[in-house]
Amino acid sequence: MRTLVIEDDPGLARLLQRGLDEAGFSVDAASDGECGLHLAGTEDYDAIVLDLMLPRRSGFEVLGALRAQGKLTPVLVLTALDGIEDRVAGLDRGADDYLTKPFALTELVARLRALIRRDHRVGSSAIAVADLEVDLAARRVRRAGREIELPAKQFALLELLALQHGRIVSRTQIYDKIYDAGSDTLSNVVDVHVCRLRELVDRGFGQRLIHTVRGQGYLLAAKEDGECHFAGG
Amino acid sequence: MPLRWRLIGLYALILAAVLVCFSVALAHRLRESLVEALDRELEMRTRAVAAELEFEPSRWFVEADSELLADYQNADADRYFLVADAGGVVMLRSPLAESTGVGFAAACGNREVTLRDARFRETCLVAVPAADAGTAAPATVQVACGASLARVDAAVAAFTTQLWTVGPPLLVLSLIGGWLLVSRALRPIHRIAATAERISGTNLKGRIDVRGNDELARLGRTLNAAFARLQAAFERERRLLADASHELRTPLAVIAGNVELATSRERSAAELRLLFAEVGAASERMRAVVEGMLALARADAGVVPLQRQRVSLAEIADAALRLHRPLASSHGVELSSAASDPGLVSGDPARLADLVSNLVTNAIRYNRPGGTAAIQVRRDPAGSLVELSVTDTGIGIEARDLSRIFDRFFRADPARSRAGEEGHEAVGTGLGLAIAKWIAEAHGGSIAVTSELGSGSQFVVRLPAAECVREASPSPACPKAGTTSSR
Repeated sequence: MRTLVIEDDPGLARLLQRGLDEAGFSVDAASDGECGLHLAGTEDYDAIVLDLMLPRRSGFEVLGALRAQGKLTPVLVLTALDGIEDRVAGLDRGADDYLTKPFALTELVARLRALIRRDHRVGSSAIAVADLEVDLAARRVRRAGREIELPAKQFALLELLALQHGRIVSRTQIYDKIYDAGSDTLSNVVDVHVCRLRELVDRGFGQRLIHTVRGQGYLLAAKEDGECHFAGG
Repeated sequence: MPLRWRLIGLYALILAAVLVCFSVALAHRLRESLVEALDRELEMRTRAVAAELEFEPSRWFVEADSELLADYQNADADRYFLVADAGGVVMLRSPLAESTGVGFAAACGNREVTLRDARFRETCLVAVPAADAGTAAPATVQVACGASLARVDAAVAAFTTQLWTVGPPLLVLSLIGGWLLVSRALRPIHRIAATAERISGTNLKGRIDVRGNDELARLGRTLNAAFARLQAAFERERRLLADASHELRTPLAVIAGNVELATSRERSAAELRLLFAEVGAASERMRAVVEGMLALARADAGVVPLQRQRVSLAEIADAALRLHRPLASSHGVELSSAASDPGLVSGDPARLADLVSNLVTNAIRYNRPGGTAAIQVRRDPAGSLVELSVTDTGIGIEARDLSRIFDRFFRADPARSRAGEEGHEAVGTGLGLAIAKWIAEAHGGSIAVTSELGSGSQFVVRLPAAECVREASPSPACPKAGTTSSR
């Protein structure tokens, strides 16, 4: 899952980056409102963590501008203000959730997951497709009752497919979500990662769950079809 | 009692008093003029009696068939006449005078007499009647004519009655008018009261609707201005609280978060060191903020005593320079100082050092690599002030931020983000300049800033020179303090 952290305090920004990274998110960081708004407007994030007191443009301004652009990315507002009016104002201006400093990292992560889930209309963090179970919170994968260990990138990929299971996920989408803005990788790594994921999740099990939709992308679903296609080699 | 009732009551009282006084005066005046008219009539009658007088040996009489007598001889006649000689001996009187036994007054003139419980007005003249030649008639006689005042009194009474019947309705009518006027006058006051009631700690937005340019409009405008000031003060307090929360809770979040990370699973020693370094930095930041807030809170309460002594600002500047050289070199900023005067002031050396340090660290922090920060100490041209200026070639402050730069927790935005971009954490608390201002003012001095965005800022502290502080009145020859004066 790709997240953007807009936070001006370097210490807190590092903490969020570290904490979210350890929780399996890929994180971009912006240290002021202007820069944050630019990233949020141009990139495709699953969720945004936004501090309200920012230099150049306040969090509220960023939020307003973002919603005015029609971007509906879930936004979790992080603030020192815990008055009821402040919270109401935050939510009314388009924030999806509100967390007051100081906060527990685990709560922040859980709330972000809930926001992303809601955004994808998934009810709980345990997603089941046929005999495949993906627990997004515990970051565990089981197939036919058997635990499967997945490397971080493969888990992120499976998470993305699982959140949109039954729907096609394009290769660009995968590329955007799995790699943060700083990474410099070629697009065919997507296919490589998908194939590796298939090795781990589909091989040796009767039913294939990860499907390639030619020219469109990939799909996690309990149906039978083709095989692993390599788009670029 | 409501103002409306008091006003109406007072108004009614005044109105009634005016009406009564006016009526009394009018009745009095009416009576006077009626009496005057009566006097004139009596005078004419007196002359008429004198003209009809005839003299027989030893007595005056009026011909019995004279028309004149008819007026006086009716049984119900309410007037009389008397004729007396110069000595006052009555020689002739009309029947009414006869029956009431009225006599002559000592001196001839106008008077009021009471005869048989009725009041009469009397006029008396000295006359020279036409007597037949050869008779021994006295040369002069006194003739008095009297008439009842009953008709005058009746007229006055009728007039008074009329006043009494007209007065009360007039009073009531006026009171209704007064009531309407008072209501009209009080309406804006009710509006003001209603608005003022709406305004509370949570809602300071309401304003009085001011119309016209009268006294109440002025009151409305005055109150509106007061509300605006109140709102601004509340807003300032709210912002201060929000800023303080932010400045304290952010490092607290960093501390809590890093501790959470450190304890969430097994970590290597290197990882732990990294996390605890974060905790250390955040708690250091919290300490600075808390200390700054405490210093300002104590300053607000006025409980910080200044340990005043004679100190040299030039020396303090040099010390600050030495202290901050490492910070300056880490930021690639060159520090320099120049003093054309030792800058002797009477002040608290520790506080003044804080002041200079705050200015110098700002000049370093909001500078750019290769920039300079210069401290200068000198006497102002008049000689009674010591000036310490800190000039940087930094990023400057936007004009709109200059007025707020000394506010607590205020940080000029570009400066703040810029400092972050260049990889130097803005470890300032946002309180340094507020503290600097307090220290300067506590010493009887001032602090000012000039700045140009993009090319640098200059902070100037002006403190009273030590010699001048001692003298009761600053002499024109405030001595150019001692040693290194080289201006």
